[in-house]
Amino acid sequence: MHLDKGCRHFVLGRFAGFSLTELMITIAIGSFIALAGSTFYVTTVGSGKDIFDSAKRTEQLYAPITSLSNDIRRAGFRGLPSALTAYLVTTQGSGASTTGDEGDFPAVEFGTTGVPSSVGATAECVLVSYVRDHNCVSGDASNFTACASVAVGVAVPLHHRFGYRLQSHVLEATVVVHPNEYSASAPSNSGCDASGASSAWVPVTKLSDVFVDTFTVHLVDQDSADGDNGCVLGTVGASPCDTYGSTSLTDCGTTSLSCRIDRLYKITLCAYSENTDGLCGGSPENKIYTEIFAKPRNAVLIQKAAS
Amino acid sequence: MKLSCRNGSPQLIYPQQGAYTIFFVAILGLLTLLAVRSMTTSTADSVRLTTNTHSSTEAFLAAEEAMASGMEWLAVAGNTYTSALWPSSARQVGSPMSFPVVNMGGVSGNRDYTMSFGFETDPGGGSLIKVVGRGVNGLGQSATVSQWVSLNTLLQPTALDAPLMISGCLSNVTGTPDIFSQKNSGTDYVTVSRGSTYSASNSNCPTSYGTLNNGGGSTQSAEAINVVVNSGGDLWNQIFTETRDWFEANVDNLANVHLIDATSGDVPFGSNGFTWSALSLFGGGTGFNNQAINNGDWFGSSYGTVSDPAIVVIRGCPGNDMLKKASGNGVGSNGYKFVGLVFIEAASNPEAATLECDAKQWQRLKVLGTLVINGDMTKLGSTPEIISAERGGITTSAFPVSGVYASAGSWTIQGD
Repeated sequence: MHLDKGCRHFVLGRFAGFSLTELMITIAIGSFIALAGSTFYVTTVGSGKDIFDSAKRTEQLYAPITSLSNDIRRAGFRGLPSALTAYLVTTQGSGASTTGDEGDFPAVEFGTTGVPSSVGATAECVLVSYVRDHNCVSGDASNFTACASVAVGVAVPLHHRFGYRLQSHVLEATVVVHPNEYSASAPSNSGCDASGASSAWVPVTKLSDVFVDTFTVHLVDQDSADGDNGCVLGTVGASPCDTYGSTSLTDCGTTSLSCRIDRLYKITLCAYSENTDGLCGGSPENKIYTEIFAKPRNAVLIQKAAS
Repeated sequence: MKLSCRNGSPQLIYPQQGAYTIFFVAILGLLTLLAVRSMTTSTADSVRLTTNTHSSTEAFLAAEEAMASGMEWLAVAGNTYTSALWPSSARQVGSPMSFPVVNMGGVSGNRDYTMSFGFETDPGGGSLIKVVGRGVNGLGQSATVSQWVSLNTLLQPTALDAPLMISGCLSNVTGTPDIFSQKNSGTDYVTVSRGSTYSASNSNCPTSYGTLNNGGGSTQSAEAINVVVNSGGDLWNQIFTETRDWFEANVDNLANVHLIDATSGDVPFGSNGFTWSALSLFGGGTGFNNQAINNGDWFGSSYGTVSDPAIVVIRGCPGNDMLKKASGNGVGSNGYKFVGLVFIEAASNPEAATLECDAKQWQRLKVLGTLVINGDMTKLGSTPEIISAERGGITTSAFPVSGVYASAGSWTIQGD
């Protein structure tokens, strides 16, 4: 402290600064406030980050699951009635007494095995197909018959393939024009076994954010009915459904429209933030578990072979 | 700290004057703001995502409901899809679909979605109809779905092919009926479709019927009779697309469809009136049937009109008191006139087709459409008049719809 020369007679007693006690109390209060402030800051920032991370994990999983659920709902849409009629031809069996298959663009396929044939089938890769518009671009005329007769930029209805699979604990997805629509071979591989540079699959989750332990699509239920009279196979009812005790698809009637199949699927997903396999049975940190039931709004039609 | 002396008084000098405090408070405040902003942004993003997801789901459900309303509307007799084409003349569902919002930020209320539906025709010229449903809320969040459907008319496509269909035998035609099927010259017509089996009461089902078409008046000459033989038995399934049980359960809900017990008395008149235009169907002139009615006569009490034909199922053969009712020329409230389909069957056990219907006194019966006798028709001894639906321009599509059926593989979300 410095005093001007003329004022030295003023004793510093009344202005001697803080006493030790005052200083300690001040420091204590200041420290408390600083501690509280920093704690508040850290907590707030941490909470915000937790919320953000949680939302990020949830959205990374919720978006593809919702998308898959919506795609399954739309699966099997064939476009205009004339297109449906044309599509049914592809479902015809190869012999007069043979029930057909599900055609060139099956609504839902499991893995590399194709259409799920029986209740209980499960897959970690599912391919969904339905018609949506495709804007023809330059070069499409040689790819798609529908684009050959229209100008560039015109939308034409084409079957698209939507795929979802679990690959090394990362969810992957693909959206492509269905390979069977191409006049030649498709430029990329959208099959469930696709890998490498030609793969059409892209990751939709980040392993650093979320570890997907389980992703399955399960065929929960299916009803097959005669496409002509609605009689459910395996259910003996009143006439004309009194002869439908068998569940064989070959019993689906004798006229051109043979079988109508309704299916119900369940999508199961389990993920968490710990980078360890097989923890879904317990309670790993940030565990997300969801089961969604999905039912196509479009029944599958199978046309019996022309006799 | 520094002391100075001014005017003889010491003054304390604080160089910082609270600057550090202000600085640290500002820093702390800034950091706090950043932290709160970070958390608020995350929370707001989550809420926005959730709200958008809810709105998307709600709009989708509203669109589905709108489409279902469209199908119900389409199933109502008299409603034609051409009057509600999408989107130019789409119809709005009366009440919006509301989703309650309970105590969201202290606010409760509803999120309302206006629903509308309309129809599109098949550009390929097919018979299927596309039903489009849309739900939209006040913020413009919307969803649109569509489905191709087929209309199941109550009548089979071939139900009106012949003006007279008989399950069993047609015998004893001694009267002067006028049964017309011909629309144009040629042989592509059927006058009578009758069963092939002999009934128990007719040991010899005749193959010669006398004169079924007596020319119908001064300007018409009798046309050739073309008889086809059907497989016999119960004709119900050849005429109707629904079962008898379904018919009985729904008859009261179908416009201009009637089920009459002939054993209880006279056939009651319907409420629709029509103008008999049989004459114009045959190319002009006067007096198509000089025995009964004239062109242009108005019948205030009858069943059906050309634009809204009726289906009348009569259980039990209407006797003398029922179908000869009228006196005079049958104009006005007298006589029985039907435009559409008249299906007469046994009062009990109709599936067995045990009916023997004596039509000897059906003097004033007029049918524009098809008369079906689900059994034997005996003693056609009077002057009934039946003009085919083809001649009258009546098609099965003019009759009530018994159901709207979705076509598999045709449901989709509109817009992409």
